[in-house]
Amino acid sequence: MNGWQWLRREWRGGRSGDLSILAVALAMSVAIVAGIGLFAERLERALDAQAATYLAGDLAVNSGKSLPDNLITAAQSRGLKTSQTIQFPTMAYPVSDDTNGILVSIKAVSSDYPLRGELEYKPGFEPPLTNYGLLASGTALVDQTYLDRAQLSVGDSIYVGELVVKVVGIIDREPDGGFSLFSLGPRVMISMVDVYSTMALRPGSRLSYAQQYAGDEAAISDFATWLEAEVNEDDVSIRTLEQGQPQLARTLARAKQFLLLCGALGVAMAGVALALAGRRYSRYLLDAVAVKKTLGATPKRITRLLVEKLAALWLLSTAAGLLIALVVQAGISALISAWLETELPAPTLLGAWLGILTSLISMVAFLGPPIYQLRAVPPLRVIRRELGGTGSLLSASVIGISAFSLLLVLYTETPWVIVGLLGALVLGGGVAWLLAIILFSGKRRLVQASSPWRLAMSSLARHRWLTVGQIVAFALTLSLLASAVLVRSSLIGDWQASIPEDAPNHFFTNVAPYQVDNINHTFDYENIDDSGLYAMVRGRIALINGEDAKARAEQNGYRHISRELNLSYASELPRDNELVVGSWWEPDTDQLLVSVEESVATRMNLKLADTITFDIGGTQVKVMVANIRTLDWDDLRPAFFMLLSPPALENFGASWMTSAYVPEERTDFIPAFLREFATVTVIDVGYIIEQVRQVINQVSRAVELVLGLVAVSAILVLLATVRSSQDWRLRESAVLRALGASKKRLLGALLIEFGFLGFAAGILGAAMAEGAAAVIQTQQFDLPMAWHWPMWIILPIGSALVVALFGLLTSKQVVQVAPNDILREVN
Amino acid sequence: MILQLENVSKVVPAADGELVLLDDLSFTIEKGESIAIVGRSGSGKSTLLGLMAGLDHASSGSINFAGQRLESLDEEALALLRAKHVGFVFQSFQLLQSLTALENVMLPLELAGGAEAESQAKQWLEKVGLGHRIDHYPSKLSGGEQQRVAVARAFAAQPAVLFADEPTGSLDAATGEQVADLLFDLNREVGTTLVLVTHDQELADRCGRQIRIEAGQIVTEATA
Repeated sequence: MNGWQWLRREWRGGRSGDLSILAVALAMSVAIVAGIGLFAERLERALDAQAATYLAGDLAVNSGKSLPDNLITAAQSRGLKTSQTIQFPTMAYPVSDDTNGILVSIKAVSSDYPLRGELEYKPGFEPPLTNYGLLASGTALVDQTYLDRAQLSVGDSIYVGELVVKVVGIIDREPDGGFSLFSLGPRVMISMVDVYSTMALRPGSRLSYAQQYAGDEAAISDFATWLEAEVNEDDVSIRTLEQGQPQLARTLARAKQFLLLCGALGVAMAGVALALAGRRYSRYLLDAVAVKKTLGATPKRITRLLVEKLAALWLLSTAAGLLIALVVQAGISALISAWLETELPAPTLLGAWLGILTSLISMVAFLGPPIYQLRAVPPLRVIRRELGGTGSLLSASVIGISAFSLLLVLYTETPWVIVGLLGALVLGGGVAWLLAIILFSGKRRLVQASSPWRLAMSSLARHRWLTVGQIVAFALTLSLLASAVLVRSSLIGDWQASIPEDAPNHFFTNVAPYQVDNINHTFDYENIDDSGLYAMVRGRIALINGEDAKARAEQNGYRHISRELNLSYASELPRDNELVVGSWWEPDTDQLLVSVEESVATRMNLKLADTITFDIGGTQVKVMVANIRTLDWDDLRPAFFMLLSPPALENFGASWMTSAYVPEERTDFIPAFLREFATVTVIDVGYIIEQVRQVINQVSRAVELVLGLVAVSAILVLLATVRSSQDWRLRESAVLRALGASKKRLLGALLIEFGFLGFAAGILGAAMAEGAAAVIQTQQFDLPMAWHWPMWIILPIGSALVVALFGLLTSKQVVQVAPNDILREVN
Repeated sequence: MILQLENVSKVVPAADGELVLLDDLSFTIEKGESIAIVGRSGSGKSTLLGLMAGLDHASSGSINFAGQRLESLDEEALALLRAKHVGFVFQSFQLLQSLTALENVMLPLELAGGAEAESQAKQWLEKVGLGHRIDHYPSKLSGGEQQRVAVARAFAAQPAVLFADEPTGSLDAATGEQVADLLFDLNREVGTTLVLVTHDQELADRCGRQIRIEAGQIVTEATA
């Protein structure tokens, strides 16, 4: 006989209930962790690939000055591919009508561009677009806007500076186009070989040089390190994958954190189920081991059998769990792959290993202690049943909680979740203990009468510690489930709120000062919801309180702020901005004041009444900090770190900008607007919003799918908990029935017993969930704390109903089978 | 001689000092003999059975079982000795609920490493009249039937000594008698030594010798 045979016989022989819970709990822990792990890892790699398409490479640099020659050489020596672009504004004229000049944004691209992502265009002309690389010399790709405005079509030729190029296609989307508010005019893309022929690269031209690099991860990382040391970051900005698309990245980073959190919660629940079912199973094994010992099985043999048996159980469960994980991750991937422009990379084994490791830790920690005790069961137990036990609950709990903490550390990588959950657990345990002492101290009064209510209460009181254990187990499960639901709701709510239905979908830039009033009037007349027009003035912070600002910025590790900034002015606090300190100035103030964004104020250590001197095109403007405010970068409205009072900036020549929501059905608005305001650049960001919105919807669904798995674990705990007291409940009910208690009375008592357990656990669970969610939300996800009062009603009532129903279903034997049969079976 | 006890005592710690369960017992059991240990509840007879069968260690004295001193054996060696020489029938049957009748009888044969476990177990179940119920689980069998499975299990490994602890204690008179008949018939057939603990005088009278215990001491020893 071996452990595998033992397991098979037990499975057939009526222990399938406990064994199923054990097996399913183990399988669930593998499935949840491996499923999420496999998916999270694929997602991360896909996001990197996605971000790369936004940079048109794995790494990019750009600068207003010509980039040093050694960058390309250094990159190529590391085996990286490189490409280059130069952007600048210039006038373009149709060859057929050289009076119709339009300011365009030229982008000259090298033949390898783009290294990542795709330039999407409608080719409309033969011969083929390229003879080498992307664009042949003498050809150009342009925006539809340009063709509309210049009244040209594909095949026409235009002057770009001194150069004549033929329009060979229309750009639909360029990977690193993003939306730069300074792209002055529609895009005209030409070949890098033609750039000098335009004669437009003159000193004082507003040039933007960029290089992109792509290659394997190690080489990129090595090159990035070299770059940081090599270039002056005041002149050259280095753009990495993380900065590729911050809004999406943040949404997905939070989603990933949430999935990992769910994983930890699911595993914790599977652990509770394992521990409960394991204890019951090991109680059964006490007799089996004692009989086997009596029949001559040596302790060594018993140990070997037990280890073989657990190994068989583990192998089967883990294999099943991995299968489920593959299905789960495939499901989640299918849900989200629709919006990913790149293919999801194939899953690797890392996630699977994490799942296997988890189930091993869970089994050893939660199932190990009671099973280990079995080695020591004396054979004499066959005569004296009081001998042998399943070991101390305390030591098992300590081992279990330690393993639980270890698993949390493995998944969440932050201590706050652990603090929240363990804190809630300790609090819950303490409250339940107090509850037991207070509630059941009057048991003498309760045990006498035989009404269902009193039968139930006396039964709970007699098994007071088991009752407490059950309440804590239920409460823990409920609180884990509720925390997951609460955090999910906040998270999804937060995501959705970040992109409201009427979020601005068009930016209007390059608005001349004389157009401001007319445009405002047009928006009002056409009933278009705009964000208000803002002037944009480029300026650099020169001095703070009379001291060199650059030194101060470097001292605070925040060098970006010493570069040129977009400054603006306003007489009123912009929409969605909130004052943190100080007050907003009077609309007609004549003081020179500035309102500073909170994070900049913190990093630069700026306080109210500090003075800042801006260098604007060589003129110095000294202003005083009047207030500090927060702003929302996600809402697609013009946002400025530094907002000055009107007298401080009014006299500087500025170009103006705004954003507005143009409903999809108003297809005529933009062409009409452009006809009226030909020099204004309109950037459609609708697709970016649509993409983010899609990501949010799909990721929300993925989150819900994972929550479903967590709910399966919760049901397991429920089953395991109800079963943990089933034996004595059946025995006692059978005795009561033998003594003449009616079915109705017994069912009533069971209903009250389980209902009470569920209700008490619901209240405790709500308290624990509220505490845990508060810590997790504020510390892990940076969401505001919220009070969830509906949970305090739903959880106790829902849990009372569900537990009562489950309890009745699993205990229905009591009234269906002859009491004698029950007594014989449980004895 | 298969079993010899010399000055065997069993003392356990109690709330008020020590509790003497067995006090200086000495006797010998010959091979093939049937012996009843009788006495009231709490007299110490089950404790004595536990010591003789190597399920527990004596506090003092010596027990010689098939030429081996039990007090010098560790758990591992005691288990091997039981596997080789000992069979049991208990008042509460001690069948494993998750195993069928057949699997319960196969258990000692498999533990002893027998190759023919299944066919031998089937033969033994036929002998006890349960050949038609081999695939039934204990919960589906009556008390008498369960005890017959236990008897089959006890004889299956062909032990040198069969210990029976109140084998009819959980059964009604008629069923008890049937089980007792079976026990004695098989005992005669196989030639096993039978050590029977009971407070049922009728059952005790069917044994070749009786040892009566009161408060842990032998009060009488009689041969039929």
